[in-house]
Amino acid sequence: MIVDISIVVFRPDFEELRQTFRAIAAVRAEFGRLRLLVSGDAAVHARTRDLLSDVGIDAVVTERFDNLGFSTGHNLLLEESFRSDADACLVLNPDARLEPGALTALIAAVTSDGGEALYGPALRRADTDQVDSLGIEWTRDARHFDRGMGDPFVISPGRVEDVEGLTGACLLVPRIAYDRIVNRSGWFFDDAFLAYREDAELGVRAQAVGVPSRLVHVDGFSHVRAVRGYQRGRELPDLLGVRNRLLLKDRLGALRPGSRVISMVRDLAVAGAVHTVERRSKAGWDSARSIRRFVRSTSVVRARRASSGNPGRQMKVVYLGVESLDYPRNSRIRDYLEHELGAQVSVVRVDKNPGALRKAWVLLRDGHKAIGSGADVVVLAEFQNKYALVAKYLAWRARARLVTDWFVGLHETRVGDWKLHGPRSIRALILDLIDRTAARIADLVITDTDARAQDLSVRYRIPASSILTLPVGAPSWAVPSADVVAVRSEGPLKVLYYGGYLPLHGVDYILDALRITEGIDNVEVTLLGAGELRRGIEERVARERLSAVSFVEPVPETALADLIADADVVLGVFGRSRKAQTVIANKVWQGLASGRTVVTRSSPALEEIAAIVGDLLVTVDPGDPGALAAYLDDAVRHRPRRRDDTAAALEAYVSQRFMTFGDRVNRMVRK
Amino acid sequence: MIADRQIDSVAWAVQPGTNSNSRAARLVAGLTDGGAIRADARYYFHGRTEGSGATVNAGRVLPRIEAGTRSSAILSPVFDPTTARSVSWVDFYDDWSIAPDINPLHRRLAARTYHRVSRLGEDVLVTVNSPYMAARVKARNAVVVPNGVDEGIAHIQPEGDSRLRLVMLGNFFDGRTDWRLILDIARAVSFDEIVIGRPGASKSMQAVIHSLRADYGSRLVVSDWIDDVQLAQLSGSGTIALIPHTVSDYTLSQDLMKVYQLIGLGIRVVCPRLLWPAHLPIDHAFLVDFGASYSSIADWAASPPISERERQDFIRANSWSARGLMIQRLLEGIQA
Repeated sequence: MIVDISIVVFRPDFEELRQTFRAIAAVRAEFGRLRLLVSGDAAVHARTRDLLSDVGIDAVVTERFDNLGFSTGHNLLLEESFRSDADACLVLNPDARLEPGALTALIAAVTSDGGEALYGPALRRADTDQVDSLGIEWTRDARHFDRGMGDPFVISPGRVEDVEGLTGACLLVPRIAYDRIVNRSGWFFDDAFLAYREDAELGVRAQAVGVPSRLVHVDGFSHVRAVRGYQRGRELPDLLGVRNRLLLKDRLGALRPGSRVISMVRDLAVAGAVHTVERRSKAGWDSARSIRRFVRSTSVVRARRASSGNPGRQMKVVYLGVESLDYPRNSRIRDYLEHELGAQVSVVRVDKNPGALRKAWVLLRDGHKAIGSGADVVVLAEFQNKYALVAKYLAWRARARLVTDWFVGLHETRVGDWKLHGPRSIRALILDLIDRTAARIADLVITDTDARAQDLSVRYRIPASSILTLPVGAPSWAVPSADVVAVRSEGPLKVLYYGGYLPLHGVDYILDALRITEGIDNVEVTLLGAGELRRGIEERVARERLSAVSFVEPVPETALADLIADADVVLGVFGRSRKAQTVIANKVWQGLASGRTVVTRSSPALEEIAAIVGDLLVTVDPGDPGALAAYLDDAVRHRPRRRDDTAAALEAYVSQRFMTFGDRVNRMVRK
Repeated sequence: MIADRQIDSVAWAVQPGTNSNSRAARLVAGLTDGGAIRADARYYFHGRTEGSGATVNAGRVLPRIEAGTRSSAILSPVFDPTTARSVSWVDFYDDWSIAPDINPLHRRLAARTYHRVSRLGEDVLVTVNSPYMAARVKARNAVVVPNGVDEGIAHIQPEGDSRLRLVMLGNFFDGRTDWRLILDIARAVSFDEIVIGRPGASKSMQAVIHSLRADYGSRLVVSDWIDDVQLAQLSGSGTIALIPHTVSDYTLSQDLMKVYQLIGLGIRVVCPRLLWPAHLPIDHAFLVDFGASYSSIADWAASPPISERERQDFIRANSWSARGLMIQRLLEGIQA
């Protein structure tokens, strides 16, 4: 597990900072990168750089002249960290220390716990035998404190326990927890907070979206704690304390821990104090009051809590015929159903042994069990058109609605792409009948592009209102690399193809184009992946002495993300089948989301994302390899631009389509 | 776009004959160029001005679009989109229900409209300018389409000198402008020049100018109007701008168009932290909040300015035409 360390420095005590850097340097082998955000004037920047140099520790330093605050600062660093290769990031205060071996022990405990929560170590008060924090606990009047503060430091090594929150002074954030919190609640630390209490808010919000906070009993972490936010008497902390209390109230609503009555009494006492004995904090009160609509209305967890109070029962979904839980499309749709619609999703896996009849029988048997406690919706998974009748029967038995994910058709693949059967053969007719049945018997058909939805509607005479487009989108690993540069001007043009050498991909077209590319000496083409047709492609490359081409075996997603990041151009699909005309391939989404130029065949399907990605998407005529060759020649001379804003724009587009899907499913179930 | 799906009527707040630079005007111009809005569309506005030609005064109290339009766009919450059956696209920018410069009747109508948007079907595209507005309107499928910048400024070259200069552009008025912030920054840093454009008639602003005049004398330049070309003449390596907005629900509902304009002209921006447009990078921003140290603004101004390449990339990525195209694609997706 690669773990980065994230530190935000503002008005530091340089002697304390020196000691923290020394402590970090002593455990250099235990983490990936140190990421530092230094706020202040040029002198602060220079002195911090000198300190790093004195201690001899390398760091990725972001220097700012303003103060972004704890939340925004760490959000920036966490985003950078997870955009690169980190699996987790340790949020650390500049006055927190760690001893050799402590981080390794924490990581080991986190790994064995599953790594899906937020984790914090037992924190010792520096240079004492007292507890600094064993997590956060809330009182009945909606204040929060560090658990065990000042108590003798006694822990049970290895123990992992759930707590209400964890101090931001030392917080281990695994990537999976980060993604869940951001995707489900909109952000990690709440930017509305400038400093203090953001960790307590995070704990409550994370819990509300299904990410618990866990304290790990491990020794070796300590905290000097220069500022105690809850001890009054300092103007800025007091003012922010008042402001943050109101922000917590407005952000969390009924989720704010504590007794509602006692909390309200304290709220009134605070209101009274800032208008009388503590007027210096009134600016904090006024600030929170003036943004209360914003704070309330943009709080996802508050809204979710409100909607869960509705009397409707939880929707039950049976997801039938799942081949792989990790398949991006399947995983995303299930995640949306579970976490956005609040549905209870039961997965019925498809049998991995060969034989369509066996698979149908297993689906029927396991599907029966799944609908035993009732179902509102049966979803037939992607690639399973063959079992549409099984799905329809189960939906009928459960009086549920049937949603078919018509993602890949049998006819278009076996007849159109692979040409395994003649277009007029009996088998082709049967495959077409299966695809048609899958589309027609569903209450709702989902497919991946508008062009495909229109094609299905016309071909199988399905009303357009019964088909919805649910784009594939890009997975979370496909994001621009941290070292995005607008243009790479040196070295050969790096061109990447990856995939299973499917006929849909048209790898022969790529080779045809490379043969006539004039600037081929300045092009480096990587063909990554494995598939039935690879051997033939390898033979052709050898025969035609295409020295620019190299072959790479399939790699895990993280390595693939690196290869995409290293490429100037990602190749899409160049097949000429009907299917090729209507799909947006995974690699097209992934390449574009990674901010790289993607060259693919022209297709009406691309129109829906063309405006979003602009000139990153280049289309060529699949009948003319010269078009790709001409593009590559041009790209050798004028290197393609890279962008870092496409992932968010594409994600916004996909999210909107998912919301439409969610509304439709909700309405179907209510009818 | 198929002809019978083109938008043939637009309801908005733009008076006929005015040359508006508002979001609504920019988006409508882009969509008309792209063919999503018919060139001969009828325009409905609310206000006192007489209608003329293809523009219709829909009244101030309860403005409505005439029955019989095939497809309409509503770009002002004073019109109620739920009473018109033909609505295809609704765009709301800034929370008019709490805007200090909107009359009480129209504030009330805006609040009613935001509440009623949830009644619109999924065949209506709802776009907004900020995350606040996405939450404010009661539509689950509201899409944030940020404000943009005029592509034309790509051709206006920044040609200011390297003096340390602070620029502020109006409108300034009570309830939106943080007078204290202007004075604090002007006093924390000794600028070679402070330029205030469009100061307006606010008494508070006059007091601020009076105070700045006492400190800066002839180094304070006040101009009734500053256009893009004049701004470019001020845009040099030491030129920074201040957006002196108070942080409030209303300003959070906005997506600061001035930020786009200033960055597009190569001028870095000092801005309250929470008001910075959510989707823009903060590389060329100095964000202020409680406890900010304004004296480090001088060091920041001396750091590398916005390069010409960054400026061009910014304009390309955030142009109004890119925003228009995004809406056009969304409309086509809904109509497909």
